[in-house]
Amino acid sequence: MSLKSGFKGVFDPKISEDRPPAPVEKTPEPKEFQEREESGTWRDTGYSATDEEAHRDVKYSIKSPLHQTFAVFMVQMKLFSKMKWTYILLFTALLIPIIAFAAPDFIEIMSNFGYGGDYSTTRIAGLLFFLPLMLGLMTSIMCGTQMPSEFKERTAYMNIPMPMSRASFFFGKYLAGFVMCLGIFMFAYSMAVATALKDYDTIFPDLVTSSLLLTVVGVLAYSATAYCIGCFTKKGSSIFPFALMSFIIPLIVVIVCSQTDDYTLTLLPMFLGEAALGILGGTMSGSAGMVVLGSMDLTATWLMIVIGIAWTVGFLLLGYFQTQRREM
Amino acid sequence: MTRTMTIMAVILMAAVALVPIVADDSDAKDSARFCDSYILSTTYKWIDGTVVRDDCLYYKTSNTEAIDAFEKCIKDREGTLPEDDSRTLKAGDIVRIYYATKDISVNVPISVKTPEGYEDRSQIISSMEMPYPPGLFVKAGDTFSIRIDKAVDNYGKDVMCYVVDNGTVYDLSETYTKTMKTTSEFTFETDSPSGGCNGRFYVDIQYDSSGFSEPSGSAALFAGICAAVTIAIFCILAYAGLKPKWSK
Repeated sequence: MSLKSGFKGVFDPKISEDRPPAPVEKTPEPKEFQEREESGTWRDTGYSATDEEAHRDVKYSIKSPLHQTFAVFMVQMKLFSKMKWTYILLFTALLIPIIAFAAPDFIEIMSNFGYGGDYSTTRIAGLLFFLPLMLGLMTSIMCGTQMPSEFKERTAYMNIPMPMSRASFFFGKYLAGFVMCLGIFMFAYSMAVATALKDYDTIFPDLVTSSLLLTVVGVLAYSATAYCIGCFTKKGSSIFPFALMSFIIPLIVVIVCSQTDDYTLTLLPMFLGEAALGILGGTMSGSAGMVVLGSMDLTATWLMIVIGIAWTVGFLLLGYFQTQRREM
Repeated sequence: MTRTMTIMAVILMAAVALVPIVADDSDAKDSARFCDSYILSTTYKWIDGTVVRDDCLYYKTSNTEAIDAFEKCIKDREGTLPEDDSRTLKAGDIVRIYYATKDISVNVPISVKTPEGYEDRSQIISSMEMPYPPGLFVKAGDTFSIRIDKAVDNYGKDVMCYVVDNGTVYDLSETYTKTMKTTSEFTFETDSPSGGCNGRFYVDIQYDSSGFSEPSGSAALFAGICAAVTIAIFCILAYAGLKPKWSK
């Protein structure tokens, strides 16, 4: 099976094989049929239309997989536009400059606890102090309940029977969640860099780019995990994926690392937020991973990115598998 | 619409990737000023017979020129500290006393000579300047080396600089090399001030180094790129919230 046909097989809508057999069409007698068809039709009026006017040249078919995915993506984006959480999370990012400008003394006090301020990138890392925690929280809120709410509110029973593959349904919704979270984090970054502009004109572009990349991969991995967990639950939860990714797994890893004195496990995606701050020169973060921030090997960020992408693909496939086999 | 947005996104991503290559540049300084002590200050009404430690600097509050020069020297890390007003002080003058100390919280020690002996008039700090470490920035994966040729404090005394790495003390008057696993500011320790001083106002160093980095990219450009991506995403959100023509 070629890659193209395999891809087509995943995205093309499938008709269940155990459906009842289609009724056998009966062919009417030609002469009787013609007489019946022509009586009382437009032929009596003398009207004639070209193929184009009569839309005889239009070929009706199921939309492409990309179009189906885009339609689901936009539907989900519309739902996000009505969600109060979207605006609450945006306001959270907006707090970065508000706190920095309204409470400069707070920033000074924070410097006692390792909040760097001598360089623009360390200042940016300080302003994004809660990035690792927010990675878990925001992706859980945006992606953790997407799929369960479709079934809870019964909208899935209207969407899935449409001429649309489950793959488009699954990936379209995930893509919307990812893009939405990405938008919020990019907003947070722009706020942090803009706030740092007050004191600094220049930055380390390569470090900020690396930090951005790590954050993007972090959003990918965290949202895939939350989305996948949502596919396996009936009611959906914003708390469980958040607790799992931000506290349970990081704390286990921290304990294992401190016992073995080997910090290889910090390459896991749960530490992408810490790495995004660490690469900027941040020495502390508001998360469970702050304990290992100083011991992480940030020379292997490319490996973290590869692991993060592999983690994302793995969890998406798992979630897709569960969605495919879900009884409707 | 979708195609235009895709092209815009690709251009933005390309800009994010290419800007560092064009803009990045590493450079090393050969001299720097840092402070290893807290700078405390307080105001005090001068009394006949007041004795203040000789590592304090004091200026009449009316002498704003000298106070401004002091603040500028400490904050901007350039120039020399102005000479204090100790010779011209009279009883009743309001003076501002600056005191450098390794401790985060102390009373500025002031005593007044009376016929009965010395009377303690110590003042609690009223403002504080944090110490600023030598700002030598190293990126993760970079190898740096440093040798401090000369280190002199504001009193003109030599300062010994050293670094403790895994329990071993390295004197930085000899070349010290290290490869960093994390991005961080390289900091080092200094010996205690000699001559009964509790701290220093600043230390000037001359050094030979390689592997340290200086920021060189435009912060405004990056803020703009991030803002553009955010705006693009929220335009999609707004478009999705409109009448769903896209669903046809």
